[in-house]
Amino acid sequence: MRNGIQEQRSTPGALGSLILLARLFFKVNLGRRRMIWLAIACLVPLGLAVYWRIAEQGAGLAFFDEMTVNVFLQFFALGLPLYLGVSAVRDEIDDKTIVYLFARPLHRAVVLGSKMISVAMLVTVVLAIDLALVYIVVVSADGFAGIMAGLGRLTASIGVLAAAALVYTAVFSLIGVLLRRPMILAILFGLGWEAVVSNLPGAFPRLTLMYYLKSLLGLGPQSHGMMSMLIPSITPASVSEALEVLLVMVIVLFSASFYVASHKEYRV
Amino acid sequence: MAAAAYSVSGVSKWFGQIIAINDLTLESNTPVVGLLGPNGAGKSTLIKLLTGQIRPSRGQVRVFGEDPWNNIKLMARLGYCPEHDRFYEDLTVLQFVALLTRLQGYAPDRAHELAQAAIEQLELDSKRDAPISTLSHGMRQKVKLAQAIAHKPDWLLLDEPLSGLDPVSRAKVIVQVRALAESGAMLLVSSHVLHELQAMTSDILLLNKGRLVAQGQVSEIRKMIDAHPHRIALSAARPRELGRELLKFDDVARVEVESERIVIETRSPDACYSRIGELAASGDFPIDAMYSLDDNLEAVFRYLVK
Repeated sequence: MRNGIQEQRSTPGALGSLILLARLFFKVNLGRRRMIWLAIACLVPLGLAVYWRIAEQGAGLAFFDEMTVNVFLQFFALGLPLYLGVSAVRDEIDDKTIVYLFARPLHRAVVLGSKMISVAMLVTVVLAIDLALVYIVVVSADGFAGIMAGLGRLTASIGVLAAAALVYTAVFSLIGVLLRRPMILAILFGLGWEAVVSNLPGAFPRLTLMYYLKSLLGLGPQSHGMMSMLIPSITPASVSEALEVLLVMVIVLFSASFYVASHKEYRV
Repeated sequence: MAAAAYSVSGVSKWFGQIIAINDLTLESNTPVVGLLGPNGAGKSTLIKLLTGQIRPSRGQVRVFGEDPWNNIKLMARLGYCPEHDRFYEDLTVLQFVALLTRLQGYAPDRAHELAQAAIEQLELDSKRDAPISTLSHGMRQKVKLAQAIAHKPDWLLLDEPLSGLDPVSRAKVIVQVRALAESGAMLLVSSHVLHELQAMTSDILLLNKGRLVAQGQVSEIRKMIDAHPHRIALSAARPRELGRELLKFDDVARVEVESERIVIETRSPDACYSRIGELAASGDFPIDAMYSLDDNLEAVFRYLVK
């Protein structure tokens, strides 16, 4: 204010603000009921692993690979960013708390970026811990040597889950900032497009992100039935091609989200 | 003459089919201004335009000579207390105010100091470490004020800071806003209650239906209000006879008779009230109740916009 000597002020640095806002995100969200439910949901794969271990139903690493793709990649790595990415910004807009941030000397892209990074980090950490625990449970039957032997595969799987968390957070954040009621489109994309189209025969899976994520694990579409007899499934993309496509998509989606968040007017 | 601290020229703002601000033009350099208007007048929209929360659909907004939309440098100079009662509920008062002060660009220690000072200034010390979710409405209102003033802004915009407060808290907040004004802060305070604004400032902007109805000193606004007919409702056993009697007075412009009450319009409310009192005292015209229909601001605006 005008009394006394005017204190020198500077606009806050983007990185410092990102960290502060990420901390705010965790502080505000970690205690929420939805997070507790998500944590409980994440225990399901661990329960399955314990059940499998007790029943001793085959090779540990084969079961681990099945879990990685069918449970972690196709379900959790898609579902968690869907749930958290869409709501990260939308919740603040609906709660009207975003006003406190938009009234600060912060670029709106920083506000959005902090949420996106927080969601991607949260999903990655949760899935990495969960996957590591599943790995230990299912591979421990082969002793310490067995655990050490599959560490490379575990690391690669965590890397793919991190990539999935990043790219899907980018998709769902964009939907979240773009639409007033984003959940329907997000569900259609997640459970419709990504889940179904990625397993269609022919070249259709190339239109999905899941195809490239699976390609990082050396897996192709899992087509079944009449269609797959008529149209042969495509082979996985090379790792370098998959990485390139995913990287470009992350950049494009994040940029689009930043652009929308910076130019869109929110009625708060 | 110094350049206006803020100016709005030909600004309109639509939300879908609804027009919130309608071709509004104003500029001001007055340090403390009250923004007066009934609900839906466009006060909050104007404040959001001035703080860069929203963009005008048409026209130009300037604050300290700059467009406020997405203007990071300008945001560092503003303090905004929003109308709604929304918070990061799990944060404590100090965490909330200190975090938002840090986001203004202050180092952690300095932000903490400033937050602490604002909390003390608003007499929130005892609730410093309480989660915001546990606070009363009055306390929460003060928390909003604290986050707006902590970084010592050049211009403080308070949107309905007295809304929903009990009379005691209301009086306290008024005192605090006055103290801020006396300390040299530039202020824009909105309210839909004239006497509340009058307690904080003598310069008023009157908005109604998105338009500027009047601008100036409260005393001038009051004169304008007094220049218009004042409506008084009377409940009486024999309303027709009473109406006929009242029409004999020169200052009674109009009488409407309803089932058991009459509504009169007068240009001299004081004189009219005393005559009605005399009539009632005479016993010829028993009057059960008498009340002014113009106590609410809406009625005043109806006159002013005619």
